Amino acid sequence: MMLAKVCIIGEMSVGKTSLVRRFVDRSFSDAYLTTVGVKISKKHVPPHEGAGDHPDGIQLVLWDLEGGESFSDMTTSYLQGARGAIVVADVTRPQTIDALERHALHFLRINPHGVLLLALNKSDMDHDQGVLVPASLRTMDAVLSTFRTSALSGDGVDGAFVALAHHFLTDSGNGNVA
Amino acid sequence: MAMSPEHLLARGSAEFVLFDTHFCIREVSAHAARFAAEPSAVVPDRDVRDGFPELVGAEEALLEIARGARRSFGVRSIARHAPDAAPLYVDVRIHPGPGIGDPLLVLTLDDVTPWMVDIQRKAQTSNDALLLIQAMTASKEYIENILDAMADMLIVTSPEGTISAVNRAASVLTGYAIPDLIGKPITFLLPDEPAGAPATGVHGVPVERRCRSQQGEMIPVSFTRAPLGAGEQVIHGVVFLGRDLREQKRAEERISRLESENLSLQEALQTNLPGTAIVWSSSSMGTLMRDLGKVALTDTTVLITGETGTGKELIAREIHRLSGRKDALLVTVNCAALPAGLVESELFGHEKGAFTGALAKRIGRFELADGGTVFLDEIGELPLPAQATLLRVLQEQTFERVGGTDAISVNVRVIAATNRDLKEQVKNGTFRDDLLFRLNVFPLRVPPLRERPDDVPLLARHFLSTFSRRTNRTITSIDPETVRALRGYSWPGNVRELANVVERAMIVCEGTTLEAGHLGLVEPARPREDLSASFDEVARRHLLQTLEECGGVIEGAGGAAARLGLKPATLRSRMKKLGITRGKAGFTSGPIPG
Ligand SMILES: Nc1nc2c(ncn2[C@@H]2O[C@H](COP(=O)(O)OP(=O)(O)OP(=O)(O)O)[C@@H](O)[C@H]2O)c(=O)[nH]1
Ligand SMILES: [Mg+2]
Repeated sequence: MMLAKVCIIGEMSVGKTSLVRRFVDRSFSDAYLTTVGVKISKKHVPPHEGAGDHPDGIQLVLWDLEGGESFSDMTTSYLQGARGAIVVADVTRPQTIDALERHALHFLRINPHGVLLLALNKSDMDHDQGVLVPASLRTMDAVLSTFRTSALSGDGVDGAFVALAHHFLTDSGNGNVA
Repeated sequence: MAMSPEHLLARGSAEFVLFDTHFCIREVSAHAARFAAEPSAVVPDRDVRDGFPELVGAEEALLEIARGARRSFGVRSIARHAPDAAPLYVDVRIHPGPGIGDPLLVLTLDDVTPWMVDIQRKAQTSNDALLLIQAMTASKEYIENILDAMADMLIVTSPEGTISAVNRAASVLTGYAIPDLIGKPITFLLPDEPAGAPATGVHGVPVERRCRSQQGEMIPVSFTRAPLGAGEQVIHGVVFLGRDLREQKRAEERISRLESENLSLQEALQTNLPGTAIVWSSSSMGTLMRDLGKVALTDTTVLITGETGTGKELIAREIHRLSGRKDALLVTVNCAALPAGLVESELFGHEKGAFTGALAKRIGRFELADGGTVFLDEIGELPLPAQATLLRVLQEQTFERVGGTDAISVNVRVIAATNRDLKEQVKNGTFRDDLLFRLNVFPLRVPPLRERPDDVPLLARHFLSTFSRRTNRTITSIDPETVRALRGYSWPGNVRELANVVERAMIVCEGTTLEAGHLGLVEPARPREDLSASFDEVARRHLLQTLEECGGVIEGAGGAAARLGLKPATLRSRMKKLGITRGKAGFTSGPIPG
C-alpha cells in the first residue's frame, strides 16, 4: 500500500492537533494542551475513481508538529521526507494567516517537490466567511487548494485530508510503496 | 543474530528493534513494543514502519546508514499517548547495526517521558512557552550536526575516562572510525593524559598533548578540558576540546627561521664594515662626538657633511645606536644609487599596478624604517620630485605610496649626509631651499683627516688590528718613520683611503712591523688640486713613486710589480699606457698616449 508522510504545520494553537484528532479519531475537545515534540498518527484513505494503480488506497502518516515560529534544525528534521503538508491558520487571528507563507516556504525549502494544502481553521467562528488567503500563496505552484475547516464541527476536515490523499494516489510518481 | 550488549550500552538505550534493509524486523527486545505507535505490529517479519510510522519518508536516510554514508537518523520527542491517556514520550533513533555482509539496522528507543512532561507542564504555564519548548527540545541530531561541523576535535569521556562520544573532526584527525573509539580509555588517544579519573579544576586551560593517530603518528594537539557536572566537579564526565597544532607549529617554525635570518642579515650589516668603531683622539673629533651624543637622544633631523671617505655613514650608525630607536631598523638609502624613475617607489613604496612592472605591492624604505631611522646618504643626488615628498615626510611624517591614495603615517628619524655643497646646489636650482632648511636643523661636520693628523696613527693601528684578525696576519707594530709618513700625508680620500692603504700595505708586508715602504703613499704636489686630478694622473704618479723607491726594479721580490700587487707584464703594459718610460735619469712620464 502507498504510504505518504504529511506534516501539519502552522502557528501555535491554530488547531493542528484538533484537525488530526477530528480526522483520525472523529472527536474534538475544548481543552487546549499544546503539543510538545511531535505526535504521529496513521489514517487509511480508500481509493477514489481514477486511482486505478492503487486499489488499496493510501496510508497517510500524519505528523502533528508543535506550532510556532521555530524554523530550527529540529523542525527541519521533522519535516524531512514529507510529501505534503497541511498549513493551518486560525481565521480569528490574522497574524496566523500572515504566517502561512513563512511556514509554506520553510516546508518547500526542505521538500522542494512537496505539495501544500491550506486550511483556514475555526471557520465556525468566521460567520461572514470574509477571511481570505494572501494572493502570494494562492498563486504558489505547490499549493493545491485552500479549505475552510472546523475541527469543532468537522466541516471541511475530511475534505482537506482526502483531497491530499487523492492527489498522492493520482500523482503517484514518487510515493512510498510498501 | 543477537544484539551485542556493548552496542546498546554505548548508546544508553535499553530497548531496540533490529531490522534489515527491506525494513523487515529481525529481532525485538522485551519491551520495545511498548514504545511503538502500533505495538501489535512490532514482531519479527513485519515491516518496521507499521509499528514505527515515523520511519515513513526516511527510507533513503536508513539505506544511507546501512551503507555507512550516514551516521544516524532520529526523531525526537514522539508523543505515543492518546490525548487523554497517561503521557508517554519516546526518542527513536536508527544506527548501523551489528553484522557484516547483509547490513542490519538498529532502532533504539529511549523513554523521555519525565523530561517531556516537565516541558509540557512549563509550556502550559509559561508565557514564553514557545521559546521554552524550542530551547528544550533541540534534537540530538541537531546537536550532533553542530558538533560534526566543528573543525576542532571533541571527545567526551565518562568520569572514569572512558570515551563515550567523539565528533567527526576527532575521527578525521586520528584516522579512527567513530565506533572504534567509543568505549576506549582516553589514554588510548592521549597517552599523556593521567590514567583513571581525569583531573578536576582544569576548566578551560589549554594543555599541549600528543594525540595518537591510527597511522602511529603523534599529533601535537592543544586540549582544553571541561568537567560535565556541577562547577569543577566531574559528575557526568569530561569534555575534551582539541585543536590540531601541526599547521601552527609549521608556521611558527617558518616565522622564527625568517626572524633569525633577518636578524643575522642585520648583524652582518652592522659588523661587516671595515672598522665599525669610530676612533679618534683629536679635539675636532671630540667636539663632533660630544655633539653627536647629545643629538642622538633626540629625534632631531641631522645633516652630516664631510668630504668623501670621512665615515659619514659610521656617524649616522652611531647616532642610531645611541638613540632610543636602537632596537628598530636603521635603513640606509644611497640616493645616488637609486634607479632613476624608481626613486619615489623605492623610498615610499608603491601599490600593485601603480606603474608598468609594479606587479605586487611594495613597502618603501620609509615604511620599513617605521619606529627607526632612515639614513639618506648622498642626499644631494635626490631628484627634485622626491625632494618634495621627502619635505612632506619631514614636516608631517606622512606620505602616500606611489599609486596609493591612503596617507601612511610613519615615525621615522631622518639622518642625511652629503659631501656636496648643498647651498651651492640651492643656488643652481638642483636642491630645494626649504628642504635644506628642514635638514639643516642640526648639522654635523665630519672633519677631513688632514685636519686631525693625530687621529691618523690611531686609525692606522685600528685598521691594522681589524685586518689582522680578518686575514690571520700578525703585524704587531708600525715603525716611527711610517707613523711620520702617515701623519704627513694629506689623505684626500680620508679614512677610507687610510683603510685601503693599510690593507694594501699588510699584503705587501712580510714581517711583523709595518714600514713606510709598504705604504706606497704618493704625496701629490698640491693636495687640493689632487682631488680634481684625473685617475690616470694619480695612478701615474703612484707608479713613478713606487718605481723610484724600488730603484727601477720591476720584477722580483723587491720589485715594483710585487709591491703594487701586479704581475710584471701588467705593470709594464700599464706603464706604457700611462706614458712612463725609462730614461737615463730614471723614469719619466711624457704625455699620455691617446
Ligand atoms: N472553535 C474552534 N476551536 C477550535 C478549532 N480547532 C481547534 N480549536 C481550539 O483551539 C485550541 C487549540 O487547538 P489545538 O488543536 O491544540 O491547536 P494546535 O495548533 O495543535 O496548537 P499547538 O500544538 O500548541 O501548536 C483548542 O482549545 C481547541 O479546542 C475549531 O475548528 N473551532
Ligand atoms: Mg498541537
